[in-house]
Amino acid sequence: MSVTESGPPASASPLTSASEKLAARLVRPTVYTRHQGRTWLAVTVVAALVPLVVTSGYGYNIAINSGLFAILSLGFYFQFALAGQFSFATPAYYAVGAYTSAWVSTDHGFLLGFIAAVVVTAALGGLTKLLLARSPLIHFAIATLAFSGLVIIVLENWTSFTGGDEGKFGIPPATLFGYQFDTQTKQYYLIAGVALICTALLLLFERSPAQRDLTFVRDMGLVAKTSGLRANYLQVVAFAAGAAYMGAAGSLLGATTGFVDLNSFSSAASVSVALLVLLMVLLGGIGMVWGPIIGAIVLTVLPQVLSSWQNYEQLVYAIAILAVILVLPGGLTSLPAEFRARRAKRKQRAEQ
Amino acid sequence: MARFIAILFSGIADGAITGLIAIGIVLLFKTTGVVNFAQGDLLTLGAYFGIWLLVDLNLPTGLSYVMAIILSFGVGVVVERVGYAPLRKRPLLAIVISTFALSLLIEAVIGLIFTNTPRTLPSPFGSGVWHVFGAAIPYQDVLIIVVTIVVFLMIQGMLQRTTLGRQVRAVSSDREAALLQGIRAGRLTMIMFGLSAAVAGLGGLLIAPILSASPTLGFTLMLGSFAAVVLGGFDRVGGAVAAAVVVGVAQQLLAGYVAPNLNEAYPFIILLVALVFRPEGLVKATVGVRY
Amino acid sequence: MSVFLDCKGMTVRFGGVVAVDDVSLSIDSGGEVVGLIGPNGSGKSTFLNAVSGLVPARGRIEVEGRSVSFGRPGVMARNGVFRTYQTPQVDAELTCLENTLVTSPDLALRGLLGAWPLRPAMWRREKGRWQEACDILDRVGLLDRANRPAGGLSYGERRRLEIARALMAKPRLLLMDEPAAGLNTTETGRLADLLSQVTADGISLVLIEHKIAFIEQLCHRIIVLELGRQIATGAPKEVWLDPAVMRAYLGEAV
Repeated sequence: MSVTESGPPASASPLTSASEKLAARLVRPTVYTRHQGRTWLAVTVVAALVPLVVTSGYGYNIAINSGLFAILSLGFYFQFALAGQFSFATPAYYAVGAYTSAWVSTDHGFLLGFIAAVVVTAALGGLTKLLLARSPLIHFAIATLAFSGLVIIVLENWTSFTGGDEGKFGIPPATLFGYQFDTQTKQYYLIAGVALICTALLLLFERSPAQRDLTFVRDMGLVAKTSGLRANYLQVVAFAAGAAYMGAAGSLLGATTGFVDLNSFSSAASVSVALLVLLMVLLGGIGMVWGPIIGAIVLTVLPQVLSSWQNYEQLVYAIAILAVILVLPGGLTSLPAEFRARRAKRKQRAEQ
Repeated sequence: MARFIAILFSGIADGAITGLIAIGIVLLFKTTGVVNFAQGDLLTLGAYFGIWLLVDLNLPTGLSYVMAIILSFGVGVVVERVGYAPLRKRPLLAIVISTFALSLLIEAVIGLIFTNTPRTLPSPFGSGVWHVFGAAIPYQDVLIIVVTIVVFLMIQGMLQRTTLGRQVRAVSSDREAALLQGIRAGRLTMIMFGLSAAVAGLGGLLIAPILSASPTLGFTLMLGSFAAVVLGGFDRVGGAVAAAVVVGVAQQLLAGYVAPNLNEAYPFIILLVALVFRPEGLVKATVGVRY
Repeated sequence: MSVFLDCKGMTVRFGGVVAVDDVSLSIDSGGEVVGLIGPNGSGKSTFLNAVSGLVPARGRIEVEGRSVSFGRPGVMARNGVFRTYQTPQVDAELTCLENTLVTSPDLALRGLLGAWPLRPAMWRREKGRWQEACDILDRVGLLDRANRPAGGLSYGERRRLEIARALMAKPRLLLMDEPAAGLNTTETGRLADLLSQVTADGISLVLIEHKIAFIEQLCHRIIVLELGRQIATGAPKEVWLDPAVMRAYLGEAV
């Protein structure tokens, strides 16, 4: 307080001092000074080196699945952590993306199929949020629960589109400009690449005026609206972007496995995908982009190691969500900061 | 005509069951401001308590029902202690997610103990029917409707006449002021969670003879309750129950006359339509935050 | 000077209670200051809430002679009418600079385009906005806190940050709900200085306030509410002598 009180009187020419500070690059929003580029590069290098360690087809399956779930989790992070929208509709966008891509890529190749999946799911996500724009938080969550269930029911009954119980076969493997991703190693690189691009896009978004406005809308609600912020526009855009991530994951699922069936998304599993992604994001932490990625990797690898979980999957996940919320609300990525804070406190106490 | 009456009655009975879940959702929303996603699974649990006591342990009907309701009450209290109380000061979404996790937990536990094979609970009236205008109405439907009316009246009376009810209304109209007046929030929410669970459990006992019990029974029914609560208002027991009956009848009429093959989709469609057109319920909630 | 905002017959009902009953308020553009006073519960804040679309109300609002369809939040902001709140509303997570930037009327490149493909252009645009926000923060005396999260600010600083956010929007009229509440004497004095500068720049003010000296220093005109009804209006000195006002504040003469 005292600093401000003794500051220059408000009548003194403010322009010079402000411009000087700006010129000295002192005053810019702190998000623009938090560079994540190096971390991103380091992660890219690690991702590129994974095939040195992974040799078996089984290992690649895990790596590919981690990548797919990382993209899904990043989409959920976009909607939940950045836009503050809790949605149960992850399986719906995932499934719609997968089937859209499957149909388009059969005739027009993978790239168009991928783009179609992204565009269609983005539109669907935007539409969901737009129609429910006036719904408060919990109402929106409930509505997405219904929406997700409805999409799955439609897909279950639309057998000519989804291939019914057998699923849709013969999806061509991914090709980009004539280059075929036909081995598991190549497929891994494709998915890791997309996941890294998704991460980079999120990092850029977090360092943009759009995220600043979105945060204000998320935290301040009506105050933001009365202040004339484009609350609905921003939330629709962010929700649509998150849905597009999920659609992209769906497209990649079909392009790597060659077929999609409803079991990947539906019935009992529909809760499972939504639940799994939620747990990944919560476990990793919603404080930063790396949270959902770490969560996705941990929760894809762990069940493989502890294969005796199989029967208790839902039970374990449910307990895990509760435990994370109760004990580790910031997720794994908040641990370093937490330790630092704790150590600082201990030091303080020791000095006293 | 006979068909219409049969459909109408089963619609009202369905609505009564979703209404019982809705009563719990509204009670909890009034006392805590939180929507409990485990409410539907508490109904499932009630049904399985009934099956366990009545069928597996072969206890007398009345005793089984009473014990099932008491057990449900206990589970409700546990839900409050585990999923709500430790998170009371945290953001709303944290609590919503924890109730959702509890819902999955209950579902998983039921699946592990009773497997996923559907089970049925015998109706206290067997398969007896009541003939009205040529329509055969199962006695169980009549029982459901009567019990729901009684429960509704009891809850209303509780809210209007008793100290507990006054506390609920006080907390719901101005939480901080009420707590400053010395209402013990912890005790109140515990009782309300228990009561809501007991009402839901009763719903489970009533519906299990008609729809067979499976671990996801309540979760599916809860979607209808959400629609009812959205339409009738999150803070009005009467509105929610009335809306539940309307939703139940609409669902049966659509299934009976329009397109029976979409039966499973109707709860979802009704809920979505309700939320798109009535985003804040029929009664616009007053702004909760003070500026 | 011409009439900028004209509210006619504003009425707000909560159930059976009439919180604001047929209140009219008009204010000129170019720096007029109108005080809105009255005992607690007289409907002052509710009136502001009604004007800014936070509570449903009946009545008519005209901005510069054009009728405005009020009732939705944000409409008045787009018409140049901004407001502050009784408890200062700042986003604790964002820094002071960011809290100020959000209301910038310059909306260019603040969506996905600016975040992704058009970043260089976005940077250029942003620098202009930072400059502006820094100037405003300097004006309210918060420039040295620009990069601190608003969550760490004192109550008085939050108030000033809220004013900075309102000024950033380049409003024609500010509606302020008890801006001096909870401030000590020094802070109140500084606030009064700041507000008289603001009005000198041609921004009109509607002030809800309890501090009499503060009101007398700033206001050209005062409107007194009691139980939702307008009971007096006029220049500050005259209003205090009005018997109805004395009754409202001091009770019936014994």
